Formats: sequence, C-alpha cells, structure tokens
Amino acid sequence: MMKSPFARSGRRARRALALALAVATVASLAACGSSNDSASGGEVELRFLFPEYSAKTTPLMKTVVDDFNAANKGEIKVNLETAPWDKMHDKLAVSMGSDQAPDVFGYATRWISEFAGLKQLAPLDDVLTSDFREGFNQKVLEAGVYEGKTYGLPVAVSARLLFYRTDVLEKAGLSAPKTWDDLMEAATETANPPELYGLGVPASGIEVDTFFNYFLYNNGGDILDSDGKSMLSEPESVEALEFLTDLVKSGGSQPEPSGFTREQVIENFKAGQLAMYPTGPWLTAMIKADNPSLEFDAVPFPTNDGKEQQTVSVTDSLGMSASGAHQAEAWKFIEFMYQPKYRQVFDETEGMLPELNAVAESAYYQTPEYKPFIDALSTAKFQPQHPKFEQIQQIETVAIQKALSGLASPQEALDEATAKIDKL
Amino acid sequence: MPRSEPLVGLLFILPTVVLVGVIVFYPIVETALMSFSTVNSLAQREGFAGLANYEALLSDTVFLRVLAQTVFWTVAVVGITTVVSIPVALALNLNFRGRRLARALLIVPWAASLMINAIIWRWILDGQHSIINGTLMRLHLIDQPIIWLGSEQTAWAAIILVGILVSIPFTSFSLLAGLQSVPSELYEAAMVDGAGFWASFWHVTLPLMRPVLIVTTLLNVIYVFNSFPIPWVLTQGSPAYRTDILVTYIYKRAFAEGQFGPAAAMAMLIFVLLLAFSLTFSHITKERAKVGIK
Repeated sequence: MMKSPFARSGRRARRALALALAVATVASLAACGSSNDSASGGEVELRFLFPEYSAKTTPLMKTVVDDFNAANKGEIKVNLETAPWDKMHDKLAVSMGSDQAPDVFGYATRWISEFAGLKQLAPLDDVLTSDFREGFNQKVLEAGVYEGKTYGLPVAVSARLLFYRTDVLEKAGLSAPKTWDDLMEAATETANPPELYGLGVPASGIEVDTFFNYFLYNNGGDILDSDGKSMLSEPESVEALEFLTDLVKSGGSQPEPSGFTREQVIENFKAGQLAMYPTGPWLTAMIKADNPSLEFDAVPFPTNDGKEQQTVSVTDSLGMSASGAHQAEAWKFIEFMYQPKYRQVFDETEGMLPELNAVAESAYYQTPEYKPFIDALSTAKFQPQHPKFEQIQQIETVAIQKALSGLASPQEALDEATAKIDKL
Repeated sequence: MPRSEPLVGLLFILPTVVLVGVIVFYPIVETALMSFSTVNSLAQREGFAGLANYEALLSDTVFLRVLAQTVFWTVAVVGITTVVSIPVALALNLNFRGRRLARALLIVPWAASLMINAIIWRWILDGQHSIINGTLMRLHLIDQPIIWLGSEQTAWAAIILVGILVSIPFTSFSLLAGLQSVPSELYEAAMVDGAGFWASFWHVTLPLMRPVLIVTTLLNVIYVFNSFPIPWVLTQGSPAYRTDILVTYIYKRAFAEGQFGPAAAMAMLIFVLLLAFSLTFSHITKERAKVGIK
C-alpha cells in the first residue's frame, strides 16, 4: 500500500487547525466577560432601573429618558432598564450584593429600612431644595423618611378605597357601607352564588396581608408598635380577623378564599361577579377599558363602629444608590423626571395618585372618580418601616390563611404570628 | 506526536469544563458556603455560622411538613405517570392510521414551557368561572362551583393531576423509544410458545424495557422533586404552606423573606438527598439487572 506523501503533514495541519479552533473558542468565551468598560469620551453614563407597573411603563419612561438624554447630549446618558414589579426586590438585592446597583432606581417604600440599613441608599436631604420639596404632597413625601432622613421620593402612590357595585347595592335597598355592620349586611344580602358574591376576599398570592390591614387599621389595630414588636395579638387585631372569618363563614364572600388571588378577584369584580372589593384607583381605569358598562363607585373603607377611619396607602419610591459614582448627575435626572408634565402622564396612564400638588390640582384628578382618592390621602396610613418587614408580611399572610381556612382560630393564628415576629 | 494528543483533547473539552464549572459547580460551592454562614438579605455572606442554619431546619416544623409533602408529591406524580405512560407508549407503538398525528399531539404540551402550562391550568381551575366548573355545572353533576385550589385536599389533587399531565409526554416518548428497540422476533417466539398478550407483556416487554424505565424514573424523580412552576403558579403554597414543596418553600424563604442562610441549607439538603437517591437507585437497579442476566 502506498503511503500518501502528504499524510504526515496533513495530519499535523489538521491537528494545528484543531488546536487553533479550541484556543479560539476558549479565548472568545473569556472575552465575553470584559467588554463594556470603555466610556465614550467624557459622557457620564447612568443606569436607571424602574419597575413595570403595566405594559405601558417602559414606553412612558423611555420618553422621559430620551428627552433627558437629548437635553444633556454629550454630558449625561441615562440607560433605562425595566423589570417586572415582583422581580424588583431580587434584582435590586442581587445588584446591590455584587456592588452593581443602578444609579437611580424605583423600589417599594417598605424596603427603605432594609436597604438603608445595609447602606445602599443615598439620603436625599442635602440635595432636596425647599422649592422642590414643596411641590410634593407632604403627607406622601413623609412615607419615604426613615430615621429622620428622606431616602425615597414618592412614585406610584395609591390609596385603597372600597369599590362597590352601585346597582347591586341599590337593588338590595342598601347604601354605601360606612360601618362594619353595614359591610356585613351588604356582603351577605347581595350574595347570589355562584353568579354574584358579596366581598372579594383573596387569600392566596400577594397582598393577603394588605387585604387584612383594611380591617386591622379600621378597628384601631396595627401590625407593629413603635418598638417594632407585634401588635397582632392585641384584642383589636383578633377582633378584626374574627370579623373577616365570620364574614366568609356567613357567605359574605366566595367560600374558601385560599383559592383566590388578588388578580382573580379583580377579574371577578370587573366581570360583575362581586358586589364589593377594596383596591387602588387603577381598578377604575381597568373597568373603563374592559367593562365600561359596570356601575360602580368607591368609598373609604368602613370602620368598626366609631373607630377612626384609616386608608391603606402604598407608595413606591425613587432613590439613588449610595455607592453611585455620579450622584450629582443622578440627582439632575431625578429632578428632570419630576416635572409635572411627566408625572401627569405617568400617573394618569398607570392609574396612580399624584405625588405632586400641581398634578393633583389638574382637572383630571378633580373628577368624581379621582377626587375621593385624593381626599382619602389625608387619612392615609403607610406600611411600617422594619428591616425585616418582608418576613413580617409572610408571617401575617400565613396567620390569615390559617384562620380563613379553619386550620386555626383567629386568636391562635395571630398568637403564633406574634411569637414569630417578636423572635425576628 | 502521540504525546500531545491528550493535550488537544483537553483543549477541546476545556470550554465545556469552564462552562459547567461556572454554571453548575460555582453555584453549588457558593450555596454550600452560604449554608454554613450568616447571610444578609442581599445574599452576601457575613460570617461563619457553623451548623446553625441546619439546626434551625430541624426545629422548623414547616420544613418537616413541607419535606413530607414533597415526598408525597414526587411519589404520586412519578408513580402514576409511569403507570399511565406504559399503555400510552404501547398504544403509540401499534400500527394504526393517524399514529404520526397522535404522536405529534402528545408532544405539544411538552413543547410549551411548564410556566405556560401552569398558568393555563390556573385559569382552567379557577374557582368561579372556569371551564371545568362550567362543564360540570352544565352537566348538573355539581350545583356550586368547586374551588379546586381553595382547600388542601382538592388543591393537592389538582397540582398532582397537572404534574402528571405534563410528565406523561416525556415519559411515554422515552418508553416508546424503548419499545421500538424490542425485536419483533421475540414476540413471535413468545407467541409460538403460547404466550397471550399479558404473558408476553410481562415476560418480554417489561424486562426489555427495564433500562428505559430505570432512566425515566430516575429523571422524573429529579424533575418532579424540583418542579417549581406547577405548585408555585397554582397555589403558592396556600393555605399556610399546606401545598408547598421544598423548592417553593426555599424560594419563599430566600426571596420573599431574605433568609438566604436557612434557604441555602435546605438547598444543600435537597442536593444530598437527590444525590443519595440517584446513587442508591442506580446501585439497586444495577444489582437486579445483573441477577436478571444470570
């Protein structure tokens, strides 16, 4: 057999090629890690992370960012990143943990104590001018203060009112509930299962604790005292959970609330399958879009006879990273964002309440649909600041689920919650 | 020349080794370190905690309950899936008109992501106006909608049912592949020996499918034990952890509560449990296979 004169060199060439390929693969893999360090000539780049409230959030914020970038061409360039709301905590925690926090970001106001405690949030008091400060609803601005320092400016303000079907209550000969007795009556009288249930009670998924807080606050109860100890075993709290459990047992809601999430209950109300459900102003916008013929109104949540009315209110905040290298530029961007024209479009589109007085006074927010929400902000009660509030929410949620599904009595469930909270 | 041969080989597997190292081993090492540390809510390790995170697990009654629930869920889903998939595979192995279509249809739910499957089921099982409730009510089988996800028992039934339905495609396809490798001569020989359907199933099909059954069971146990989307989307553990499995509980502890230390300890425990299971399972089945050959 004749050996090819090229055999040896051919094999060698092939091997060399293979080697080169292998090296190239490894090299290109290694190159993946280090690309975007080079800044483009003197321009400061900022990262801005904002939560998605709806599908419209990203285009809305993109307009603001584009305007800002155009006005500061060659000096500052803001890069917008958005993330689904329920991924925000993970995303922020992970980026802060690896020293890559965005320069400016939106977050839930209740996270301030956690993030400020970990020295991740820049206090804003030094840069907040009194003119700028005065543009805000002062009560709402207070929500972002922790241990005497302002860490967050309000965005996405909401106040929760009790939505009810005017036609359904009218047919039952009832007016809008003011007391818990009214509420119980309206919930049980209007029920016509399975087509119509009284009060929507979601006990699965997110905001189970917030839902219970409507009852807790309007019975003079609270989650934590000023020392951060649980108040959930106090008589007011137990009475509130007993009332809610009784309402479910008396047929005032869907049976077995553990099978319903907030999203489902909102769908049910929109579809006309619920007489009442407490939530934020966005429901108005949703009903207008999806079922405009639904007759409804919203009133402050009923109180247990004679107790002070409290409106559950939630704000998100906008803040700056404490470790950001360009805080002056970041603040410039924040000031730019808080021009009434931008906040007006944002608040209207997302169904939020205005944080700026100028927006609150606009014709849009003085209509009968929105005026009650703006007025309700005067009795607003915001979420408490506690570094472990997320855990407290989880504990409260479990207690409510246990009581509502009959796994424990309200007293037992709340005693257990108190024991857990006080051990944190 | 021959001496550099292994070097070239190494270079070829290097990218894979680097990738596997970064994507698989680094997280395992990090989780292991976390499980022995105090960890803040940003998932940063702050100091050595010894066995504190593991000790906390033993006194956590929720953890023990959820562990039992996870075992129950895994056994139920994998067991029923396997039993159901065998006849499905046998049927698809028959020669009938539309067999290709039937095979294609079976693969569809497998192609959609588990998350999407789970979300669709969430609405199918909705307590007020779902397809299932509507159908049952129109047939007058029930007069009130059943709130499937509302109580522990019906929620588990629903979660397991969905778990089985999404596991059947993979399992029956693997079994089908196993069936196709059984030579038809064996069945002919069995027939000549007077074996009926059951006898040839029992003495020819099952023994020859054993290797495939072993692999699918092992993979299914690992998948199902760690299946996050179905329980999470359907109930999020409601009411009060009664429908959680370990992975959803770990997620809650880590990302809802910021308790990364105990969560990492649980993750390590799962890792060790599944590793031990895989080794024992393959050891036992290997022994039995050897005995079978004799």
